[in-house]
Amino acid sequence: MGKGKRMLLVFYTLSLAAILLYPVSTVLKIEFPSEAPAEMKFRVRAFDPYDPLRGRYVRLDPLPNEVKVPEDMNFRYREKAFLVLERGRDGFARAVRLTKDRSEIGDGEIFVKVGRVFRKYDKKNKKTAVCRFDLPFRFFYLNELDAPEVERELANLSRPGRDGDFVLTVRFFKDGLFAVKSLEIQKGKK
Amino acid sequence: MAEKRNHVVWMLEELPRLRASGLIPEETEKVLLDHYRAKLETFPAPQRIFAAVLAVLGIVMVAAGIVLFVNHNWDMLPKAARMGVSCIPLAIGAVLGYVTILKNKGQLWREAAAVFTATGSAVLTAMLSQIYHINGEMSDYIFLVLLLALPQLYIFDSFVLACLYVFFSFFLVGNGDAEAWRCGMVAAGFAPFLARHLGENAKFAVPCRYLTPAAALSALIGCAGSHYIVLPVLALCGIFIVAGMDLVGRGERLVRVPWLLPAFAVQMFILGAGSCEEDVFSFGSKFQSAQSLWVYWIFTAAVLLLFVFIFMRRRLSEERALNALFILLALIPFATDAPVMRIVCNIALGLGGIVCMRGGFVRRSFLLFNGGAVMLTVLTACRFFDSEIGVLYRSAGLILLGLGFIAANVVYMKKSGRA
Repeated sequence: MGKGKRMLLVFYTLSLAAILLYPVSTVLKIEFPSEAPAEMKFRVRAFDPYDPLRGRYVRLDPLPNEVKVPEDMNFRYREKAFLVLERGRDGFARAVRLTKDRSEIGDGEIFVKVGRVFRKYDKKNKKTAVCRFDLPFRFFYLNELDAPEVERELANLSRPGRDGDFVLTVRFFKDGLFAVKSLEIQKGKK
Repeated sequence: MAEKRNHVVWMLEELPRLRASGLIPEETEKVLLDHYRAKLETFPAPQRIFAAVLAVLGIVMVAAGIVLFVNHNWDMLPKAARMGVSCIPLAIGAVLGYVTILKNKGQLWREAAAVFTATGSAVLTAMLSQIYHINGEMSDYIFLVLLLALPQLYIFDSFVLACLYVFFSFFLVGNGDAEAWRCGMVAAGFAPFLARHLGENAKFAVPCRYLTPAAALSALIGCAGSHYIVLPVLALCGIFIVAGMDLVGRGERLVRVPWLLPAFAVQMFILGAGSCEEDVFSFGSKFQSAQSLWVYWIFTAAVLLLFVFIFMRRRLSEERALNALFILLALIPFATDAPVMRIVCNIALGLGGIVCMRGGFVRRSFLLFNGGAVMLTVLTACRFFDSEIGVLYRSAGLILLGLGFIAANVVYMKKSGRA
């Protein structure tokens, strides 16, 4: 075997290893976490779009999607930031603070990267220091027969006098990795 | 390929006629017939090409059907099985890749190996996100997929993957969430492939000439879209025009140099718009990160250096001087805030038109001559709609210019012997 061919084989094997690095490390982190992941719930609103290749999924709009920020904190158009979360007594997530610098997040704090951060202005009080953001878990894939049913159920829940919530449970691992665990209806008056 | 086959068929039909009319002896006809019949057999018959196209279509349909079948039963499979299924395209790609390298297979195999490996990587990442519900940004996903496709591009020297790479790079740069440094990395990763294949005797020289403007556009949007875009746009137009004129000067047909006309059209659009509106040369959004500004300047500096390199390769000519001038005029807003760009663009168009027409006339270059004529036409058209100049003056100016064009063309045609 020539030297050129050997080099190509080595480079190709390395490129395959690089391709497998992300999926394998992610699966290992999720299936065999070094620390038990923190679980939090999020109230969600959802609707049911379609992906021609992967089938149906429920598009989620999880809450909370706002957090108070310092008066002098501004964001550029579509800037990303890190949201520090806290688990409330009811198990639901609470947005604690928003930071642009990951090094400001302490060990053991649960955080997630959020996108499309923008400062929300109040018409009456233009100094209202509240930022709105998009949480990254916005899709929940499910069977093509179940998705429309979920959407119907959601429509029922959103009517006046509703007696439940759509709740998304998310597991948070170290380094900001997360995986959605379940999407379920939680009955009971809010 | 088809054209050459037609030539050989024509030759085989022509030879008996040539012999019958006594132009060639029977022995020559026999030798030539044997030669061209042997050559004809090396070309794939149209029926074979049609059959191959149908076979590819069939395979694509079967694959799509399998994807949908697996999709329908997806939830019934355990997680490990779903991960296993997700790895199949990558496994096929890996097998193709190793066979291609070990057996020294041809270009078709190389293309298949590169595309299957890159697609397998994209599918695996997407399916992992679906199976574990790890949602994320589209820009993160595209960036990862493009980055992982780069080694396949170089290992297999794949033109099809290069086209896919450029196509999907637009999904990254078009996504408002993508950071400029990522777009810069994607462009920088692809640049050596283009540089290698744009050489005179390169394997994909002409197809790569078609791919280059698309790649440049993608890099431009990603790296400079939020800043003072006019400067890198004019520099890129300058590169394409000067390099394109060099190729045409070496005898390349225009159809094999797809840079000249689009780059010239963009340049004329900017100068024409700049002659009407001062804001064309504005500095873009002020609310950009320092990092994005760094990417902008690195990209712009790289484009300017490339222009200088191409500029220096040959002797100074009209098109070289004018393109350098257009780039320099884009630097004026850095020096002054005064509203001078409208005047500068008007002068640049007028001067450029006269210089090019003169150069075309002297060098007997129809392309350069008409380029100058177009510049003056753009200037005239822009001024025709300019409400600041009186109707009577505009009318007189247009008539004079129109007559000038006609006279110049007639003189040029006579001098160059084309009339």
